[in-house]
Amino acid sequence: MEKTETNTKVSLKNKKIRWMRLLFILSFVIIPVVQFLLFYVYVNISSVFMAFQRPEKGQIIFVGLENFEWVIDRFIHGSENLSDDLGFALGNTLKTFCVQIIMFVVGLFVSYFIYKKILGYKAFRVIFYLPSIISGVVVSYFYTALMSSSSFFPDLLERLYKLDYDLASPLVDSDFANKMIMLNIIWLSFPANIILWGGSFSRIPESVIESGVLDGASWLREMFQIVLPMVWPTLVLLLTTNFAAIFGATGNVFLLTKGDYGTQTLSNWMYMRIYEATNPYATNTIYRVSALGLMLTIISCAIAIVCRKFLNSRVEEVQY
Amino acid sequence: MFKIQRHKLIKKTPAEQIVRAIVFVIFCAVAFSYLYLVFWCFYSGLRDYNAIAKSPFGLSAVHFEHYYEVFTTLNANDSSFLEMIFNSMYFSFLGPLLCIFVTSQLAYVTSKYKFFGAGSVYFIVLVVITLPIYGTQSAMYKLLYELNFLNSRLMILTSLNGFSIYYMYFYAFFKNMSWSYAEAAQIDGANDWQIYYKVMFPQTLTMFGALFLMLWITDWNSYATALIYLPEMPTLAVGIYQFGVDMMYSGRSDLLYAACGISMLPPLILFILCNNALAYRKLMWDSSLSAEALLKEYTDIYYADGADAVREMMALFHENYRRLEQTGTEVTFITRGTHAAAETNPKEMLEKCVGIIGKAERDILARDLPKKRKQELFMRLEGVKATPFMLLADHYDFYYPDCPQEKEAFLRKFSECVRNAKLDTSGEKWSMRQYLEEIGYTEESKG
Repeated sequence: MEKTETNTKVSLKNKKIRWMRLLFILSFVIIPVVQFLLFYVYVNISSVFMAFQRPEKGQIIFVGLENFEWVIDRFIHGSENLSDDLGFALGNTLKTFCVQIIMFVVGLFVSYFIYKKILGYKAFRVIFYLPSIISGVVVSYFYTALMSSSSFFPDLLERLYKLDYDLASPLVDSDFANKMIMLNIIWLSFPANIILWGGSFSRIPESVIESGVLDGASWLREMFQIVLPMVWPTLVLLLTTNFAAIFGATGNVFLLTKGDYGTQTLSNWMYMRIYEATNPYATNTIYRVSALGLMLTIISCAIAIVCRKFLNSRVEEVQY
Repeated sequence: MFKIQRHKLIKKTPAEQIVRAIVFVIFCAVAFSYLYLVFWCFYSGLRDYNAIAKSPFGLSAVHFEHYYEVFTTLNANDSSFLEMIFNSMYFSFLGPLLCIFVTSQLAYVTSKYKFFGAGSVYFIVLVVITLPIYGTQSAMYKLLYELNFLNSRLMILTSLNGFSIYYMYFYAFFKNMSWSYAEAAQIDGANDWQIYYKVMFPQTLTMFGALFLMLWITDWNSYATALIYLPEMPTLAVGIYQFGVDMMYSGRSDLLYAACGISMLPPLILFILCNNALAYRKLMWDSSLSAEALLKEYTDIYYADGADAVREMMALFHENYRRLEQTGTEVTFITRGTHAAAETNPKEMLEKCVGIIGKAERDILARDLPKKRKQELFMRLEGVKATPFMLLADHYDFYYPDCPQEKEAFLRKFSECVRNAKLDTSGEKWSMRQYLEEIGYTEESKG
C-alpha cells in the first residue's frame, strides 16, 4: 500500500517535471518561431502571391501573369524614363557585379600583401576596416562634396576627357555618373574581405611557403600555385555567395544619384519602388517588385548551384 | 643565444622589391583617403557653410558652436537631433539585444534538449542564410502596413529573429559545452530556467557582447530599412540623410557635416575600445582564422619577455591533454573537475612548468627595465605560475607522499605566489583565503 503511494507520488513528480520541461522549451522557442513564421515564411509566401496580384479600388485582385509581362516588357522594350528601363538596369547591375568581382580579386591581393607583412601592415589592417564602421550616408556626403563643382575633381575630369563644356558635377552628368558610382565601389571595396582572407592565409603552414621560396618560386608563383590552392574552399564559398547575390549588385546608387543619370540597377529600382510607396492597397509598382524578385530568385539559385559545381570541379581541395 | 629567423635569410628579388614599393604607395594613398574622410567630416562641421560652398576641401576659420547648434537647430521630419539619437539608440540598441537574446535561447534548447522539430531548426537556418531571395521588401512593407507597424516603435518586434547566422555561432557553442554544469546545478535543485540563466547564459557573455557590438554598429549606421519603414521616426542615419536632402534649400552644410561627425563618434570610439571583441567576432565568423597566431599576439603583448615561457608551459599542458585524449579520456573545458585531478597531471610536468615560469621571472627581474614595468610583468607571470603551483598544492600528499614535513613550506611558497599575483579568488566561489585553508594552510600556520 505504502509502495503504491510512493510510486504514485514519483509518477506525479515525473509528470510535473515533464510538463515543466515542455513549458521551458516552449518559452524559449515560441517567440523566435512566431517571428520566423510571420516575418519570413508568411512574407515569402505573400511575396509569391503578390507577384500575381495588383490593387484595384482598394482591393487586391489576382491578375495572372500581368506583372511578369510588365517586367519582361521593361526588360525587352525599356521605358521612356531611363530609371524605369529594366534592361538598362540589368546592364548596370551586371557591370557593377563585374566591378565587384574584380575588386574581390583585388581584395585578395591586398590581403596577400598584408599577409606578406608589407611595410606598415599593422596600421593598414586597422585603417582598412574604417569603411565598415562609418555610415554609408556620411561616406556619400564626402563623395558628393568631392564630386561637386567647387572641388578639384570635375576640373580633373574635364582635362582628362578634354571636355569642351563645364562639368558641374560628374554625378549629375549621364556620361560620367555611372563611372563615378563604379569609382565609389572601387574606393570603398579596395580592402574587401581583408580579415577573412587574413585568417585563411595565416592557416597556411609557414614551412610550405618557405620551401617554395627556397625552391626559387617568385611571389606571383607563390600566390597562384601555393597560396591560392590552399585557400580554395574559402574562395569557392565567397565566390558562390557573390554569384548568388549577382542581381543584388549595386553601389551607393540610392544615396549618390537615386538611380538617375543612367545609374539605375535592379536592386535600386526595387528599393526605390518601396521607398516611394504610400499604400499597398493603392500602389501598383510594389507588386511588380515581387514579380521581378521571384524571377531573379529562381535565376540566381540556378546560377549559385552551377557556379559552386563548376568551381569545385576545377581545383582539388588541399587538406592541411 | 642568437635567433636567426629563417625567412630573413631569403633575399627579396629586385622585382619583388619594386612591386612591394608600388603596393605600399597604393596602400598609403587608400589609407590616407579613409583617414581624410574621417578628418574632413569633423573639420567641415567646424567651418562656415559659405566657406564650404566655396571650397569644400579648403581651410577656413573654425566655429565650435556648430556642434552645439546641431542639437538645437537640426531637424528632420519634425524630429529634433536629440529625438533622432533616441530613435537610433532605441532601434540599434534594443534590436540587436533582443535578436541575440532570442537566438541564444533558441540555439540552447535545440542543441541541448530533444523534442519534435529540434533538429530541423539547424537545417532551416542553413537554408535561410544561403538562399538568395529578392524582392520580398514589398511583402514586408504590406505586412507592416497591415500590422500598423510602419513609423511605430513596435517595429522592434521584427528584431526578435532567431533564425539568422548568429544561431550557428550559439548552436556550435552550446553543442560543445559540457552538460556536467547543468547536472551539477540540477543536483543543487535548479530548474531548467535557472540552469540557463545562472549557469549556461553567463558563459556566452563574451560571444554575446562581441555579436551585439557588431550588430549595434551595423544598425547604428543602417539607413535603408529605417528609411522605408520608419521615415517619420527618423534614426540618426535617416535624419542626416533627410536633412541632407533639405539642405539643398537651407544650405547649412556645416550643420550637416557636424551631425555626420557626431554620428560617426560612437562606432569609432567603440572600434577603438573594443578592437579585441571585433577581432573575436571575426574569428567566430571565419573559423579558419588562426587561433595560434592570435594567441601568440596576445601573449607577446601581455607577457612581453615572459611570453615564450608562458607558451612553453601552455604547450606542455596541451601535449599532456592530447595524450590523455588518445587514451580515451574526455578532455573538456571545465574550471575545476576531472582535469584538475592528480592522476591526469604528472608531477614532472607541473614542476617543469613552475621552473620555466620561475626562470622567466628571474630573467625579467635581472633585466634593465623600469621598476614599475618589472613589477607588472612579474605579477602577471606569478599569475601563470599559480596554476601548476595550485595543482601541486591541491594534491601535495599524492605527489609528495614521502615529504609531509615540507608541506607547510611548500604551501607558504604557493601562498606567496598567489599574493604576488594578486589573486583573490579560486574557482568561482572561494576567496583565496578560504581555498588556502581548505588545502591546509592558514595564516596561523604561516605565523
